[in-house]
Amino acid sequence: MHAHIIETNKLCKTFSSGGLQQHVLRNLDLEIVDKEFTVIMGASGAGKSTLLYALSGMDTPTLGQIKFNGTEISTKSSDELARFRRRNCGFVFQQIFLCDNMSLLDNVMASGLLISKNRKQLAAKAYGLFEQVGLSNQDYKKFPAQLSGGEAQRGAVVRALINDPAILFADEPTGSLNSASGKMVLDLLTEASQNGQTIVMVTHDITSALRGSRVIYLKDGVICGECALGTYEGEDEGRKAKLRSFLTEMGW
Amino acid sequence: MKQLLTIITANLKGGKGQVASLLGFALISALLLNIGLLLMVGFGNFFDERSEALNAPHLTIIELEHLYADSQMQYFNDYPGVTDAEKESALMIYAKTSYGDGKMSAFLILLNEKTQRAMNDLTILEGAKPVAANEICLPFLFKAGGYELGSIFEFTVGNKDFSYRVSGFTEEIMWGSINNTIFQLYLSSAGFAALQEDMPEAAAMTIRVRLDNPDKSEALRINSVKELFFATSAEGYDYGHYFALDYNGVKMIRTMMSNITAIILVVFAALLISISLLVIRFRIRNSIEESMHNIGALKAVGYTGKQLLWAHVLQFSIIALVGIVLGIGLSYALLPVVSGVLEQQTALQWQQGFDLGLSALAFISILLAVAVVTWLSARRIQKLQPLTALRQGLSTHNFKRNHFSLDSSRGALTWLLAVKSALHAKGQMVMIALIVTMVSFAAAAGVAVYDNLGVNSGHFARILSGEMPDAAATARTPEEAQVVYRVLEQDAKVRKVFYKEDVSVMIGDLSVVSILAEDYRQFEGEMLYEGQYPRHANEIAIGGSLARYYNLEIGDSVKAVRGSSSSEYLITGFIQLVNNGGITCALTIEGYRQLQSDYKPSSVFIYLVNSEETAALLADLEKTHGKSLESTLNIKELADAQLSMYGSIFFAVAVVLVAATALVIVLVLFLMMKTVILRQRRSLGIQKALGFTSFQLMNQLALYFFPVIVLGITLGGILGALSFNPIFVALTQNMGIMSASMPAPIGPTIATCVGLAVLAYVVAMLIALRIRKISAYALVTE
Repeated sequence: MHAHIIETNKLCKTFSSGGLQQHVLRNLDLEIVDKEFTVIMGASGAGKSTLLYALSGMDTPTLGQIKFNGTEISTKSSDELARFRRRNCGFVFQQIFLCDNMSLLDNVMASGLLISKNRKQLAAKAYGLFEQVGLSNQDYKKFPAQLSGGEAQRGAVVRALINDPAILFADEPTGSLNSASGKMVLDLLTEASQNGQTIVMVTHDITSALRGSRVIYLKDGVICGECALGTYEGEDEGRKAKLRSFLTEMGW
Repeated sequence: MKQLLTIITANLKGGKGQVASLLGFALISALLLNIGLLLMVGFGNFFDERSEALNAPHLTIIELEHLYADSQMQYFNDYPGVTDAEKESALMIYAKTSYGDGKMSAFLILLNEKTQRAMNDLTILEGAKPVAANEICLPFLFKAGGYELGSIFEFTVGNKDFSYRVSGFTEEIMWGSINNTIFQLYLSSAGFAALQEDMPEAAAMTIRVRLDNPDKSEALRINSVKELFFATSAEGYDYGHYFALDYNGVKMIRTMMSNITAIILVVFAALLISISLLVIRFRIRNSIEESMHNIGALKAVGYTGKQLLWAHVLQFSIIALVGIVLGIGLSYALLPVVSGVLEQQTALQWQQGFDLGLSALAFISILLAVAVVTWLSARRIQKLQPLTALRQGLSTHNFKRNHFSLDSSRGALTWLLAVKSALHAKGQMVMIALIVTMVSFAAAAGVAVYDNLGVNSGHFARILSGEMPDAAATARTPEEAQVVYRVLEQDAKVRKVFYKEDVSVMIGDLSVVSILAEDYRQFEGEMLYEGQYPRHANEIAIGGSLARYYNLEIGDSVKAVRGSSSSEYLITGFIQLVNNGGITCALTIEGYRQLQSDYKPSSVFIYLVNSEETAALLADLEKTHGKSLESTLNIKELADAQLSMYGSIFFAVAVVLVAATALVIVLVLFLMMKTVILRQRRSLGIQKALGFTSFQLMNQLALYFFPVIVLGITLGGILGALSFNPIFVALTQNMGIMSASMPAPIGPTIATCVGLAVLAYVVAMLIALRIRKISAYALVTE
């Protein structure tokens, strides 16, 4: 049994707009287990992304605590959180979010150089990762606008992995991709997970959720239930049925 | 039209910062241009208007009484074009007095307040006419020299001290400027009579003449001086026995500083307008790219390209219009301040009213330029197809080359990312470099002017005066001068002493001021700019203006005349002096004796081992040989007093140029950075999400502009330092100063450039502070 890498205690997030308050996360207690592939599911507006960005230090909670490896991060300043993210987190976004004025390789290097000073070693590692995700020397020298969505997202996965993050956050990573490209990205995440990478992924796609070892279901900012799927070892009807049954129970 | 106004209003509301910056540019440009034009045209007109209002003479002569003859008035009455001529008894004395922080030796023309005069009668600007015997009215200029109503005005002639209480300040056209060091003052009848009795040798006559056309005044001066003083009496050649001023010459001198200031302001305004136009062009190109969707949507619903184009033209024209109106309004509010600074040199209380013609010129020229550039920059909107625009048809990045690839380039990450971004916006960078180069050039020129005229004015003073000894002394007789010469020669404090005097000779039709010295090798100044000084009795060096007037070259011969004597001299060199408009020459004392055989000099130039001891040496000399001395002059002190006035004016000009440069850099940075932050918002958000701190990103943005700003400042500084001097030399050569130079001071220029660069970095960091507001979370949840 692995230790908890993240623990939240009575986590609340409230958005205020025009005098109206919207409670997106309510007294949420959650543990993310190290080396596990956790999937967060829920209907639109359930608070999935809000939870993901609160856990990753991209946003601060309104109330409650978030501990990362035992250290409180919810009270850190914006710059402290930036340093925390660069050392501990990798991100894969639905919108891909590569800097369009840099080549794919530079996007990866820009992230890597925040941690490593050894440019050569870092470049070698980047080349290796690109090879792993199936991007050639010609591809990673291109600018994002010159790549297909799938190529760009695979590049984004390399960027997320370049600093060997303690945890990788993925927000609907296949949301803007066609099914073939989506599958490739999911395979990459699965492979990373199998290699011991902790992953938290938000999705509302069952195929994607099947890759996780644990599925948490969120409804109106509260965890309604969770389902342990075990390690992913390929398409498996039993696994699919278990997840479907869980989601039906949750009102999916 | 209604639809256009809706679009314009929305655009203006959406870019308040941009509106404010462009408004600022238009405001400053209009302000400088209007003041420059008013100074250039209005000040000269004002001088003419005041002269006419005061019925000022077009020629005025002051001469010692023994030179005067009634035939002189007859001469003027018969002269073609003369409409009026009058004479008045006066006193003319060469006295030492205080002005500003120092002492000044000047000729004082003292008039009786009670005398009725048709031309430039006593006009009080402040205070009252002198009533008591100890009261005096001074020219308005003396206010700039520290005098107030009730102040004590003292002057010394030889061993006699005179003291008066200032009762008023007068408006004086001809004898009221510092440049001539001849001033006209008014005493009460009792005071005049008392001084006349005290100093009978000062009895003088002043003649005032008006012409039907002031442009004839220079010719009248040249002709009358030749006829009245040179043709009839050899005494007329002696310096200090008479002076003549013509209207155009006085006007040129008194409006010189306002003209120089006007040129600087107009050039700087033109520079700012060019910058505004470049910025507008940049803003429009960006605005088209940023609002491509809107353009597409508007075109899709039926707006024509022409309508959208005019919306842009009107939008920028409205901003410019408001800025110009405010700038012109503010310029009228600031004119009294400008006039106040210039008063020190012009000695005119300039009260400029609203000048519709000039202000309309400033208004129309700026507005038209803005409208045309806006139209040219926004023309591409017309060609855009709605579908292309909706699909974001214009690419904002050049994918040809990835500069400074991060896997192989060396250097700090922040620097590399800044340089990469900068290289993706080459056009923008070239524009910034161009703007910063232009304004830095102006700043470097301002620093050079101030340093040469305000701080280290010695070099320039030597050019103006020809030779700058520490002191000069004039004995009452040549015999007494020999005694003084020997005393000084043996004084351990004195490094060098030699005879040096100025006389007048005629060369052709011109009255020429001639310097006399025994051995020009003792001169330390930069008077000679080509060839060599005269060494033998038959040699002469002549002023550049004189050489050009008669088209003379080194090796030519000229005939100099004094009374009935004349002699031929061989030109050995060219000298530069601003005296007498450059109509000057240099002869050896032996050479001059060919015109006046009994000539013996009475004046000496004194150079000290330690210049600081000048005042003490002169005090000792006056104590021991006061009776033999007619006057002593602390030249350094005198030059400092006169140059301090120019120093304060040029200090103001330099401050304005450097401040305007700093302001332009700040405005340009503000406009550019705001746009860049907007354009790179997404990229900055991604970097924040990945773990870049706000400070890293601020630095990255500041450094994005920094190299190009440093490049612009360096280029501008170098260009200013190297090319301002040749421009200045070309200008001064026309004034008779053939080898003047205004070298850029290396230290202050570098310090100014470094200061501007540091300012640019700090301002860029401050503007970049807004990055802190960009949230990575907001970006991903947009």
